[in-house]
Amino acid sequence: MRCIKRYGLACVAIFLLILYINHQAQYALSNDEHGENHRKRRSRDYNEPNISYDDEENGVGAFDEVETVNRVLDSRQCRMENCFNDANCKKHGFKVYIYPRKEEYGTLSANYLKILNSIKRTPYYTENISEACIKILSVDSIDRDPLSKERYVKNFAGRLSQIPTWNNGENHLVFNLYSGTWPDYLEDLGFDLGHAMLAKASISYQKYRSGFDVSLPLWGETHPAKGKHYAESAIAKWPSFGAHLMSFKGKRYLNGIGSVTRNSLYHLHDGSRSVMLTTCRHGKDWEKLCPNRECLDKCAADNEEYDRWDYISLLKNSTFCLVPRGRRLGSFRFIETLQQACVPVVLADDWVLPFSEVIDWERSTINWDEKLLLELGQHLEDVSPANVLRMRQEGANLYSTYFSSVDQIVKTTLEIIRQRIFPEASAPQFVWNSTPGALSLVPNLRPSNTPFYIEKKEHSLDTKFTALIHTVQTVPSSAAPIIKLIKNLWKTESCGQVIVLWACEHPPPVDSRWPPPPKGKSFLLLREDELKVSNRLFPYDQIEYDAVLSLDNDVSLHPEEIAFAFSTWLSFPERIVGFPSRRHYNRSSSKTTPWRYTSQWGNHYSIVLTGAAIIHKYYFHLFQSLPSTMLKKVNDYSNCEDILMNFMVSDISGQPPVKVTQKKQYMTKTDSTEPQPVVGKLASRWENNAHFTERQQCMNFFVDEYGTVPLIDTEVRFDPLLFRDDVARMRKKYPNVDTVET
Amino acid sequence: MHKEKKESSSLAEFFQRWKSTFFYSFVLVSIYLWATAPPKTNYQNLRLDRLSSLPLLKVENLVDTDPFDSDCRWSNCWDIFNCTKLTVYAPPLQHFHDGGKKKVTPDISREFYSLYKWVAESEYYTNNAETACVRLPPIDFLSLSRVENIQKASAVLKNLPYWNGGKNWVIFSSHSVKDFELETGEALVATSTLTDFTVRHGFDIPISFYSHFLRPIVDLSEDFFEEERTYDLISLGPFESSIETGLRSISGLSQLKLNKCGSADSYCSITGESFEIPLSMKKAKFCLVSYSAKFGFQNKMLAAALGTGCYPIIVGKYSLQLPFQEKIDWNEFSTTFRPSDMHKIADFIQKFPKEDLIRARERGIWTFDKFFSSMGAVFEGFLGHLHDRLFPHKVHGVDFWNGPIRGVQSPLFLNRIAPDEGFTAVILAYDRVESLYRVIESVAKAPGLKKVLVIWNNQSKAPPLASTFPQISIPIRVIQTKKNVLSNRFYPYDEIETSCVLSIDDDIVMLTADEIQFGYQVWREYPDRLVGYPNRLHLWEEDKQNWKYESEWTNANSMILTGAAFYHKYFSHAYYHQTPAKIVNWVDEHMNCEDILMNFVIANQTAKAPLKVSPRKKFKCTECSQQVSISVDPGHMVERSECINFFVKEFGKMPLKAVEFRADPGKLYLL
Repeated sequence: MRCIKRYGLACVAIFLLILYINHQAQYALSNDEHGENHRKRRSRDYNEPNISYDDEENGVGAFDEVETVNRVLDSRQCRMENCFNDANCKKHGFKVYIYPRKEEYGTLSANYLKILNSIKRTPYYTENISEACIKILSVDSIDRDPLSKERYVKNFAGRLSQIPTWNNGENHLVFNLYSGTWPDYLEDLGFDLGHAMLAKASISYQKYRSGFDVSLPLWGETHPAKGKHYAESAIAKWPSFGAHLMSFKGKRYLNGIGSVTRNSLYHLHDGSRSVMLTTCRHGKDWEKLCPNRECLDKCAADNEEYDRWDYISLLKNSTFCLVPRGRRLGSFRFIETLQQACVPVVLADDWVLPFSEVIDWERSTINWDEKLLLELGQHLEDVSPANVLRMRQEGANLYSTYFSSVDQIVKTTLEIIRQRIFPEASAPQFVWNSTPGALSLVPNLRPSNTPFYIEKKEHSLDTKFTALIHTVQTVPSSAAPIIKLIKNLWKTESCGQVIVLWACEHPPPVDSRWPPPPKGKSFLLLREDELKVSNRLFPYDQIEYDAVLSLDNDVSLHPEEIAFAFSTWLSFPERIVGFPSRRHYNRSSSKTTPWRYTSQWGNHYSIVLTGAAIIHKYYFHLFQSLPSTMLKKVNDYSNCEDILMNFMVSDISGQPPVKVTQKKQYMTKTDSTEPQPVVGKLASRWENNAHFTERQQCMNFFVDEYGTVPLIDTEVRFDPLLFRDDVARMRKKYPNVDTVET
Repeated sequence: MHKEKKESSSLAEFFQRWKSTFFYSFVLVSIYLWATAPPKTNYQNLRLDRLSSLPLLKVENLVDTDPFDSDCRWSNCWDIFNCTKLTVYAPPLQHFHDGGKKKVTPDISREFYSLYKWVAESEYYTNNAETACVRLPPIDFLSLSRVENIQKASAVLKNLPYWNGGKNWVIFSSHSVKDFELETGEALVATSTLTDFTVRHGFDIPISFYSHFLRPIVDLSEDFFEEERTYDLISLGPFESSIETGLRSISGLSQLKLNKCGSADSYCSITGESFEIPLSMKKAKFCLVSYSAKFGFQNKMLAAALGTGCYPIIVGKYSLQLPFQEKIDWNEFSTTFRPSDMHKIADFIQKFPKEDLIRARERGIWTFDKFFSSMGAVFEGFLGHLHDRLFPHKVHGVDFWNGPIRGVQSPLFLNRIAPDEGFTAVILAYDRVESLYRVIESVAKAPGLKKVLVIWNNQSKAPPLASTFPQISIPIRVIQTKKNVLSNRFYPYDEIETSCVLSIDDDIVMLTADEIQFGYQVWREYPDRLVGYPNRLHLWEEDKQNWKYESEWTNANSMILTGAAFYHKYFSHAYYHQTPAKIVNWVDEHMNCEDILMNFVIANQTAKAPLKVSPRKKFKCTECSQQVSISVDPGHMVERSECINFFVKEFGKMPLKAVEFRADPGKLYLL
């Protein structure tokens, strides 16, 4: 102590010196409180090596040579590269063949029939096996659980051996919803897949052959066969949180696979914030699984609580809905949850979520680790209300686009496979994951060609439009209305191009007879080789602009009307924007034609006629890729192309058309008996009765084909801002719209 | 000499004299070191010095390895309990030998060193191996062809402290660990050559490493973005025969075909002219990047193409996994062709819209900067990927992976017709009780009304008694505010139970029930817009270089006054909780422009214009709520213009959109 007193200063000095050396030597790079010091030192990079890892061989990694196709592989090693032969696909395009049904193939379940019918409705279907890219069996592989008595097809391998073109499964696609059986549910199919691709529900990472298989959702027998169906309507509500933070209603497994999570859920139950309803009441002898009286009492109490809650309203009123694995990884409740716009919390480790090759599930679901089940509640509360609003909408959108019917599921499955074979014509992830989705993207067209991602991607629309006049008049001298129409188009500044689509038997007038285009605008006469009505909605290469004003040759429109319609369309490029409107209604008493088309006045409309409407050119592409059955109907009748266009556009956009301004002449025609011409001078062919009857038949035919009525009623029409307002004419941009008579 | 001696002798003397001092100091220092040492002294801190003489560690048993576990998946091979926080452990760099003096681990490359250095200096670093979420081996496996004895290297892994079968360890390599037979046990593999054959789906992560080769691109400083490009397509051989054949089928393009010549990274054209790669890729619009069994994946070229703004045309067979392909939307800025389809490339390139190419270029360069431009960037991407797996309730989202979106996605993007659940009328009131009652009576006639909420914004006067309110069949609630600020009218009160809110001033008595009901119907069809009656416009004044507020009758509309307007309740939340406090406060202090701000908030989030509904009786006032007092004052208009200019400054843009239409009933009968 005396030393310290006497030589205190020296002591401290040495002490500090040692401290410094100590620190220097340590150069500890840890995230402790000394971080600041280290950051200063970091600046001198004293020691960087000067070799690069790829100096020698240029960073090119060697792949193992892939086994050649000729060798028979274990089906587990199958990928597109070694088990799939794309020669036919490249030669004939993406064609899907279904084997004709034969007695020796066995019976088909309702679900498998739906799948086959859905495939037949796609444009890819072919009846010619020699041009097939993908082949589909007519042997039912949906349920491969021997315990499912009726649906299980016995002696599958034997039946396969009777198909001479099976060729060890090459280029075949096998659908399966249930595989494996009690007690371990090992996902086996009970036959050798060979080189066939598998589209399967409840597939695990362990079984999933990356880039080769397709993961399917699980759907029930009552799932709609056709059409796009929308999720619960109250999706975008605010506040976005429901009455319950999270909920579950379902079976509680006391033992066996899947019971770990299912048998723990009740721990989370508090009856309000978290509602977990589980019942042991399933299977034959569930009571025997209870080891003691206490267990039975608990089950009885649970069952009582269980019966008090309604499954669907629970889904509706919850923010998050638990989707735990059952015996298998997937369950019906996954798509049921999406349908009710509840955010799924998936508790199924290793489950490859449906279509995850293209769907970014992170945006709409929470894939929670089963091991962390008990921590779930506290973390879910961290999710912001704005995120919940977004996730609900994302999920609802995915539901309607890819899951809402067997049609949508099958189309999505085929689209995924098609994109693997033709990656140059595949949709970006953002298209898959936003409205209207990849099924509405025509292969080889770009998202910027469509009207859908304008705001999202800041695409720009052309500020001019093309007028396409469908000319069917048979008397050449009556070319006068069309001449007047073209003159009015030339007076419209935003009209950049006029195309006359000459669909008459006799030749068109000579060029000098047509009003000459003003400077900077172009005129084109196209003669149809084959006269069919669907041609008027064809995406001719010559169409220069995004917007196409589709016109009948006898329409009369004032330049101001045209300019205003186009100005409005720029805000709604994904809709049909036009003049005369129609509506549909339901007459359920009629069995043959429950859906009716009418031109009578009502408070709302759902159809805008394509005789005078602006439509994005992209819809012409889509129109031509509609199923041939519908296009055939249109061409056979030479009618209904406008109804079909309205069906298609509303189906894709989920929105009604837009009607602009009101012409007086239409008003005077209200309440006429139906077959009368209601549209003044629009197309005289409409004056006959047969024409109107055909339109009724078309409606019902399209409804049947679509599986739904995509048309949407609207009560709103758009007028110029000062339309018929008590403002001086000179102050109005479109004064003539107020007074247009003919 | 003499002097030195003297010094040394005095030094000895010094030591002699201060012997005891040294002793005590020593004790003191020992005590200090003991006391301040971290509680767990067995954790080594990371050393990044003395690279040239790394400690050489002898490993006794270089026979046993943990075989590569093909069945590894996230659920069985990753210990998530260590990962409540994302931390990374990296042991001190060292070399290993098997007793034969020869190292079994390759020299440290500068890329591996910079990866290590980045980790050590990052916020993720921990020196606690036991509790770390991610563990990095101190061995440079970036190139497996630099590892002389793979079997022994595998054995070194198994001998690492805390190896634990490989759990939570991550192996970074540009080569396929599986194909090279590096035995990594349960470790996660992040490589740039993952294929559908080698990937353990849902576990391994495809990645692309930075390489010194890319350095010239990182160093680029000049702006080359808009530069005209000489070539349509550059290809860098050699190629496998199927791709070579495909390449010959491309015609009609200005092509530059290069092949390797001489040493690494030098490329020559057929005429023998040599090109500087990667920088020469700047001269082409499209770059061919290939992968094949024979030559592997030109992932380096992919990165270089992105970095130089050259659109990658990726050619190869089916199985390749692109870097972070689960996350990055590759199809937005690259296109893949199968070798048999290469004849389509020319047409594809010729038809590629210029606008799309510029956007793709922007995205490519962004992606390069974010995930390819340094080992740190690569590692951050990797950690981002892990983050999304570990915290599925707060994933990074699209912006992190694909860049801040250019455009706008409306928060109500589903755009379906809203269900008919009615609306809540929110009336801001101060003291005009009689007029308030008349508003309530007229609004109550609209069948869609579900509730009336009176926001009593007067602190010095109590709201009228409940019994004095008009007797209507729907509930009326009164909320007394604490402070008289205009923003109170937009607060997302819990009392509002419908998504649709009708904001209405206490003097708007001229609207009929039909008009209100129709307005509500329009809102249902356009729920992400502000739908209302009196409208305004913003105009750009070229001479004054600023925005002007226009209240005259105009042919266009970009604002709806909230004295009578429907909006989705979400926008209350947006106004109150997502708008910078500075702006909201500004409005409250100026006692003006809250309605303009609401128009800004909605337009900013939706990129859509508001919708005007035409009332039968025209609004006589120019500024509805302040009819008598303010609107006659020209100063009021000036102030409103100032508001717009202030908002534009704060929002960083003019979000308002003008349209020329208004909504009228489908049939004319109402008017």
